[in-house]
Parts: sequence; structure tokens; C-alpha cells
Amino acid sequence: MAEPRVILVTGARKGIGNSLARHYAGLGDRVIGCSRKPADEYENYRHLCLDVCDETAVGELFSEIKSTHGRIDALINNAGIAAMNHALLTPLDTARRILDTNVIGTFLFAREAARLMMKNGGGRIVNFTTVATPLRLEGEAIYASSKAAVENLTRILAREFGEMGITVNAIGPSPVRTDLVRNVPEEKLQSLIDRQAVKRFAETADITNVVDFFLRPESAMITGQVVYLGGV
Amino acid sequence: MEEKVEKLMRDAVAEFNADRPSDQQLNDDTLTPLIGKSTLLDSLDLVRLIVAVEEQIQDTLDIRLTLADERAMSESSSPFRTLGSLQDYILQRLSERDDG
Repeated sequence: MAEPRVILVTGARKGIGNSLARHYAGLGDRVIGCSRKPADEYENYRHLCLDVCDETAVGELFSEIKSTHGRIDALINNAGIAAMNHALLTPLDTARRILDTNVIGTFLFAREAARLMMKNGGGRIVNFTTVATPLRLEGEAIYASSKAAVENLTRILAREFGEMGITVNAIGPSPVRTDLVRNVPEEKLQSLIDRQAVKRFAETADITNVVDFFLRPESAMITGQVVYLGGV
Repeated sequence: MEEKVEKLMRDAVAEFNADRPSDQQLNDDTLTPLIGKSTLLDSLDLVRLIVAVEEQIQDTLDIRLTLADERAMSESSSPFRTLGSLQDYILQRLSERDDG
């Protein structure tokens, strides 16, 4: 039997990150998850608390992965925050917080993961964007802009890490019923879903399917790609 | 500290060379050029070498040092000229940490 993969999932306490962590732990992979708040651990799953923008804490996390597992096979860069508001009413602190978590956090984890992956001949990095970016959704100026940055980061890192055998891709989920959309009015969500080719809420299984594809050994030629759900 | 840094540089070069063909081995010598016309390294090789050195610093001294920072890039004379100049730069950065 193949050796279990070592997979790091950021923002793994709840929502999509939690589902992905449980999915891979259930397959027998060694999953390390992190989030700001503590979470339950279970078979094949270890949880650590940190802020994804804290360079020292992130460095320590990777040192621990290196000493415990000696490698990392995949990074699922899921941690992200959103705040929906008209641009005229968006506090600067909120804008900074969103950019920090979504852009700086994604970059920091990708950088540290790639340093470890390059020694083992490669790996997989999966970033998270959103359909709000190509749809230019009103009320999501900062969130969608932060994810536009993640998309460009994905494409450029794919080039920079390509020679090291590391692929970097992104998935852009359409609305899923998680905490991230909890405060969005129902009619707003419905009008967004009406703009999709497949007019329904996405399930976490739809996301897992795309991440599975990016992680497969056969996907070594798939890099720098952004896959949106729902036909946006 | 000087001996420790010399050793970790040797270890980093050995680790770096392990993945390279025999005719592309980096000479473990302070005069070995890392940039410029006479170096064996391309830009990605230099990135790999710097990462290997940073990791040796962390593993040996338990210090996370970012070598290719803005300061290194703005020095009038690049610290990445030769293995020796890189070693001097590391010693300088480490001594500043002790002073600070």
C-alpha cells in the first residue's frame, strides 16, 4: 500500500476546511489542520492553533511538520475571511484584515510549503478563490479583490515552482451553505446562483472533487489553473 | 560562531550538490562565485542554495534568518557574490541579532 500523504489544511476548524480535513483523514492520509481557535482532533488528524499571517507561528508549524513527517505532500490553502459591505461603508481595518488573511496568509503558507516540497521532488498547492471575483460582485469589493490577488499569485507561483515539481492551482467555489455566507440575504444568494450555469448551491463534495483532481499524481501537468464551480 | 557558520555553509553546499550532476558540483570554497558570468548557478539554483543555507541556519542555530531581504538586495556590493561573501553576511546578521 502507498505511504499515506501528509496534507496541511488551513482554516480546518469548520466549513469547507473541516470537510476537506475529514475527507483526507478518512482516506488514511496524515492531516494537519490549523485555525485561530482550537478544534477536536480525530484519527489521522492533528489540529494546531495559529493566525495564518503570523510568520513566526507558521514557521514553527512547518518546523514541526518537518520534524514529525519529514515532508509535506499537499497544502490546501483554505483559510479565508469575507466581509460583505458597500465600499463606501467598509472600514479600513476590515479591508486590511481581509487582505492579510486571504493574500498574505495564502502566500506565507505557499512559500513555507514549497520550501519543504522542493526537497522531496514536488507537491501540490491548492488555493481558494471565489466566483465573486469573475462576477465582480457588488458588496464584495475587498473580498473579491483579495481573491483576484490569490488567482494571480496562483498563476505566478505555478511558474516559479513548476521546475520543482510543485503544482499550484485554485478552486473558486460558488455559494456553499457555510458560515462565510451566513449573513448574506437569501435573495442576494439566489440572484448569484441564477447567474450560474448550474443553478444550485454547491455541496462540499463538489469542492472535494476538484481538490482530489488537483492532488492526484496524474495531475502533474495541471498547474496555474483556476476552476470555478457552477459554470460561471 | 564563525566555525559553526563555516560548517553549516559546508553542509548546505553538500546538500545542494547532492541533487546535481557530477560536472555541476559547486566548489566548497570561499571564492566560489554565486552570481555573475563565472558562476555555475542559474537563478533558480541560487534560490535553492539560499533556501538550503537558511534551513541549515535554522536547524543548527535554531534561528530563522531571511537572507534575501530588502537590505541584502540594496547593498552596493551584493552579499551573494561568493560563498565567502555570503558567509560574511550571515555572520554580520547574526552578530547584529546578538547586539540588538
